[in-house]
Amino acid sequence: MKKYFKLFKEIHLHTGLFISPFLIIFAGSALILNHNFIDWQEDWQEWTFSVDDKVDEEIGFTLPEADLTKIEYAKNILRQAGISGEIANIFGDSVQMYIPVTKPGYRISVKADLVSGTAYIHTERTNFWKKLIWLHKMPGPHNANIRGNWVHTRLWGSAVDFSMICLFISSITGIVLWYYFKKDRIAGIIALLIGLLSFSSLIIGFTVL
Amino acid sequence: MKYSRLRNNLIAWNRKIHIYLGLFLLLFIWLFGLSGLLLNHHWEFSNSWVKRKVVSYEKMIKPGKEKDGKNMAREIADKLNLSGNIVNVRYSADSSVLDFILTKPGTRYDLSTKLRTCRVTIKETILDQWAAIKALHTMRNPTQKEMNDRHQPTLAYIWSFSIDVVSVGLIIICLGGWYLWYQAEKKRFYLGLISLTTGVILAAYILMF
Repeated sequence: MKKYFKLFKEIHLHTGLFISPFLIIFAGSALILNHNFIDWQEDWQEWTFSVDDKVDEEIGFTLPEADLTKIEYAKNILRQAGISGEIANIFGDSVQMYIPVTKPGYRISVKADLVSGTAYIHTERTNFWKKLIWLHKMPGPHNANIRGNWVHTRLWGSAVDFSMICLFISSITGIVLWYYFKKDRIAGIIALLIGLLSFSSLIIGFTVL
Repeated sequence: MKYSRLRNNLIAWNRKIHIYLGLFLLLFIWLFGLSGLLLNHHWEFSNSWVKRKVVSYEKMIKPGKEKDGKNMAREIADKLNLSGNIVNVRYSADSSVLDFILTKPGTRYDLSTKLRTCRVTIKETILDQWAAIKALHTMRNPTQKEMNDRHQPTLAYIWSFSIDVVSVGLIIICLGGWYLWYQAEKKRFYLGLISLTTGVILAAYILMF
């Protein structure tokens, strides 16, 4: 086992360093989400239809082919309007289409007039903290059928998956390394037991009470 | 000489904090890592809603003193010996029925109380352990907007506090890890720099996009 010590040490170091920026983003945004430091909660309806009150830009587009799926149809319009980002949802009928788009630092409301072929666009900038929250919540569990329709959301999702795998590897190698340090064993066991006790009492509290 | 002793002390303490804090938070970190993966993917095994069990029953309660909707909902839940987050409190058009939802990780109660007869109809939805894990990830303090129509039990506040502890703890572990890496010999330092820079570039790319 001792001959693997160096290997575990290197794995722990590199996986830990790689995931540290991700962990800081997730930990920082978790604090924001858990408290009311900023008003982070999106009013989806207000955002989606904000273009009804304020139009920053009007761009003409050619109507996409009718046999496209709803999401491909919306993507086609956005491409022509030069807008990139994650389509949060699609609302509308055969006359008009509302497409709320999100990306870190921006929330965009697009109303596509499917009769005249005009896209009305309203763009809002969001602050740094909302960028962190965007990263924390993406791709997330909502609107699963369309989520991940922007290449960067998929890229971020994969990076998060990879960093979570690294987190498990880093923590397991961390435990193995701690096992080697005889001086830290007792205090480590106490820390582990306190953590186990706190964790299990909360879980039991939720399930039994 | 004095500086060198101070530095050695700092390294020793930092190392201890890194190990013990990591061990203390181990189960919490694993829970949030696993639940994060579950929330970002829609794996069939964790599709708890499809596998839910629903039980409906009725109970009679004694008339209460509370008049305000949220407080009345809380009073009804206490009388029924149910605990959890109270959300969506609303009266029927003629104010004769009070409806609300009570949730806790893995279970959801839809309660409908006929105020004149004090008869409560309870629809209990039992979800599996995967839903409970996901609910623990998303459980947080109410936002300003949610304050008025949400009641959170003490245990949920303790859980929210534990999210803060995990978040701050993770940031300390990461920063402490950076310091320990910074003290490493040249070769390890430069190799570590590659791992850290890769993580930073990947995270910053999306953040700045």
